[in-house]
Amino acid sequence: MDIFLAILIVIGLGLLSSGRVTYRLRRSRLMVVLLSGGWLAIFVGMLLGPNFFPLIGVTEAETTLVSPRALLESTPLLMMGLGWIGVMVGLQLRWEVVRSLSAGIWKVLLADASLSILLFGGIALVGIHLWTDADALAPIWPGVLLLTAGSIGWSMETRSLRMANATETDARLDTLIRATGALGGVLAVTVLGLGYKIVTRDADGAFVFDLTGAIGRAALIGVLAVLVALLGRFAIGLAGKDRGHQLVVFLGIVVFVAGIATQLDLPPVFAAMLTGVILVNLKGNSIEGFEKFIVKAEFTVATMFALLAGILLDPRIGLPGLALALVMALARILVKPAFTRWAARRSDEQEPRLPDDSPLYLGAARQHPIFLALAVSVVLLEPSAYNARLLTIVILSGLLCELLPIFARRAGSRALGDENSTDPRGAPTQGAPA
Amino acid sequence: MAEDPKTATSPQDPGSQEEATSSERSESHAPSAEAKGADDSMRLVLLVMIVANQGMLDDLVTAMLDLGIQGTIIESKGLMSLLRDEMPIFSGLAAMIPQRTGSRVVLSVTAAGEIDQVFSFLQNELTDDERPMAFTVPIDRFMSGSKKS
Repeated sequence: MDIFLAILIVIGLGLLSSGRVTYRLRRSRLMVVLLSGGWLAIFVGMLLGPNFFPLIGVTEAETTLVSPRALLESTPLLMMGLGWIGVMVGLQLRWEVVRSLSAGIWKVLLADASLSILLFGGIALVGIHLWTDADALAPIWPGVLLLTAGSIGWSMETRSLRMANATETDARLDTLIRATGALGGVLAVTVLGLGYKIVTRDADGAFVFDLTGAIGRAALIGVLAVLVALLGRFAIGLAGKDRGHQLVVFLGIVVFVAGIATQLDLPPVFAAMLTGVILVNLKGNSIEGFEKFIVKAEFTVATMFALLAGILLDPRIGLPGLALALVMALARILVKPAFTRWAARRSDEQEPRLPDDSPLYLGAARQHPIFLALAVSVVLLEPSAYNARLLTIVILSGLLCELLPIFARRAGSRALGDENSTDPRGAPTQGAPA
Repeated sequence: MAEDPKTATSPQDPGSQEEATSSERSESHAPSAEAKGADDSMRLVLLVMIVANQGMLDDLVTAMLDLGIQGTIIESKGLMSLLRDEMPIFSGLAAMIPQRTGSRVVLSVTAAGEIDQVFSFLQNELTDDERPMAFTVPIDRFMSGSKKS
């Protein structure tokens, strides 16, 4: 009964999040940030789960509405949700879209990926080592990889950072930030997907590096993605334009690919993303309607996973864990915007030059929402207290990265007297109900 | 020198502003079918079609050409689509290419008598999923810098 209640609550709240009231709330800059990052849903998830009330001194037994154990019993369903996210990420990589991106975007992506792997990989390695007292790399590898991969890219939401008096160069920068963020998310999924199973457990249960096995699994996932995409394309043709049939086909694709990936102990997001990429680039019937249909559920699925993250997290990270989250957030806030500004201005050769001091650069400090989905997928693959605490670190550093640039920008704008850009309500249309 | 819009005459009857705007007339004096047909061929309406299904735009344009109806096509975006594109979460790349995510608004000023053929095409040739939102609006006054073809 607990499982059904848990699923019902999560799905119900997810559906509620796509209502008209939520859309109206998104017109506010602050609410855009809270909703697009899933922070509000994470907080609600914490209220539903077992971890919030003990923090304020109320006992667990009286207050837990949705227990993580009940949720974890429905892991196949949750894996399907992760598969949905993966396919969504993959479907955006249509060749004609990818081809239309400027060279500058690719250069910034490469620069950001290199920085993320070196800087955040280093921080994660040292931080997790100090946090867990591990004496070897293998046991902490999945955690290090998660924090490193998730650090690539940034949130694509730029509405909260746009200026009222944006120029043509601001618009170009906006495109660069959004596109690089999107591609960064793809890279993050790829890095985690390929690297996750480099470490496995041997017969004695000890962690060991297994590069050959990882290559074999990756190749298997590639073959699987091609086969599922081919079958999917055929099935989409059969489903035609009927929404009900399309949903059945889509769920079939997602369940199949996510299920097999889980059986191979691989993050289902990666296998599903690969399937999405192949599916959207196969020649044949148009799948535009299919794409729109899937992407429409984006906000609902994201909210459900944010709720899930709030329920599954374990806040007992201790001081070393807290320090790790803080260092990751500060490194992101201090380094990424400045580095992105340097890389963007260096890579973009168009005239007029990209602005030197746009608030849009602050967007680079914010974590990509896929980071949260990847962290949840690691908890689902191996539901341990350590992984639940890693999830807490991801959430905490993400929240800091999300809020600090907004407040910094508002403070900066006030100092400049730019009242339009600091309006937290958004700009309701004249005559429209507030 | 540009014509003052206030002095522009209705296309229904270039000499009579009163007739051009009076709809009560048709109610108080029920016209014969023949007279109504003649009236329809003179009366102008604005045909608006919102085409969300990009694949159907080609067929629609071909049909309009076959029917001899001119029009203007505007790239557009629905409210919900705009909200989604403004706040991408997992997939924001495709939203940056307007051709892939937007819809088209087809505007056409045409004689009311020709509209039935358009709606007949939409009703009979397209499926529910393919059919654009379509409606007409009566035109009280009309002026144009170029001669209507």
